Amino acid sequence: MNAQEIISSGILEMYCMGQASAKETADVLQWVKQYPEVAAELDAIQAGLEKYARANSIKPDDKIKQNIFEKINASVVAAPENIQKVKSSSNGKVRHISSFWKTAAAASIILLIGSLIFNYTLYNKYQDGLSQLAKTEYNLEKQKDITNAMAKDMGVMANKDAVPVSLNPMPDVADAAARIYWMKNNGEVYIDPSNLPQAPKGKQYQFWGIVDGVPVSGGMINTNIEIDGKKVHIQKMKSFGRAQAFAISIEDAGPEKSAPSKVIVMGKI
Amino acid sequence: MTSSIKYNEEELVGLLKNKDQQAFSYLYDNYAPAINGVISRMVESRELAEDILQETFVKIWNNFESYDAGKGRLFTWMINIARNLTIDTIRSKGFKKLAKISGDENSVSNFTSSKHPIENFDTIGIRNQLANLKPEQRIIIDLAYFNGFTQEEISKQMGVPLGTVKTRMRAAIIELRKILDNK
Repeated sequence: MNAQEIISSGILEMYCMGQASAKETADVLQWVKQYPEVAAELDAIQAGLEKYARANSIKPDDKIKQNIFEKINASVVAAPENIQKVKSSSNGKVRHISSFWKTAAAASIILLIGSLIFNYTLYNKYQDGLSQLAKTEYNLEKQKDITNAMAKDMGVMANKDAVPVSLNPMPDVADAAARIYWMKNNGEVYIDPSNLPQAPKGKQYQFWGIVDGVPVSGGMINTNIEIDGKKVHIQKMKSFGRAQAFAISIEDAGPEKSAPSKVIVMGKI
Repeated sequence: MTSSIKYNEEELVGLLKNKDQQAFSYLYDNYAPAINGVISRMVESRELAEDILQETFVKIWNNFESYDAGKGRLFTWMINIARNLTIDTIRSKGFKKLAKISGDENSVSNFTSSKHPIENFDTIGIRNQLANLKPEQRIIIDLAYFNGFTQEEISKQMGVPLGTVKTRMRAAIIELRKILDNK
């Protein structure tokens, strides 16, 4: 591969995100030495990602820094210059200690060290256990939320009067879709917005029913209902007595608009 | 413990290799919010994210001698440590399985969550400019960068060919660089 091919292959991006295989990593490190333009590109990608991460900064709690310093200092052995040197003086008195006391002292030191290690291990296990428990409980709660949300969603989908309508992307829109459920008995409309991309900042999705060729607002779509990072919910929109098609447009955030400015998905009943 | 001295990356690396705690304090002040931001996007619980952040910095301190500037920037090295620890945590706690089960193709559009409060005011301007990224580009960057998805996984999750994922990823990073360079 020449430098240009390397740059456009996508491997450099993967490398910067820690996703390159061992072979790819070795290749990248080789190319960086070989081609200055690859090295420059690699650095620019990293700089871009670093700024992106900075733009998404979340300040951690102050106690975290304190904890980290406590941890790293706990494992630092006292530096030699801090240990007071005990100078032996030649005229000091020397007392002889019987070998029984020497043995006893040695034994008790060994016991003390053993006990400290044992306590430390036990304490760590206890801490691990506690945090495992908290995480498990947390998972369970999340799982429950998801189950409830799914049960609610299933209710709509399983309703015998529900007519599903797929809304497909307009030709100039990539990767957006939505599904609505139109209740043929009472004209209620439910929408599943989970396949809509995140609305850009300051924008919002608005739902429309096409009644005799005229778009009628069905209300703003809330794409911020989330469980476990997933926009699950099927939500109820305004009812249309009758409609031939449905659409979703992207609008400036705020009150409902009277006419759609950019339709992104649309579908017929 | 906030340090008032400023270091460039090279000085910082030199000092950290010598286990200089003041440099480490500076490193933390300067990088922890960004690293925490990335971890927080991968796990939903703030406490869990901060646990992982703590573990990340202890690991950075203990393993600093293995950092090789020839292989990449300091931040890239640190964020990879953070991401790997986060992925290990997620996998060991069964979080990943959870995300996969509830996921299928629907889950891809949801990663640009805005639930985390903006706490660093310097970043607001950049955030606004980031809104100019096309959603399909942003999703790919977020999935890869914040969620540790491989290109293959993204392709599978989004039902988009692998080639398209690669092109969009590249376009997205170029766009990102443009936006952030204008800042």
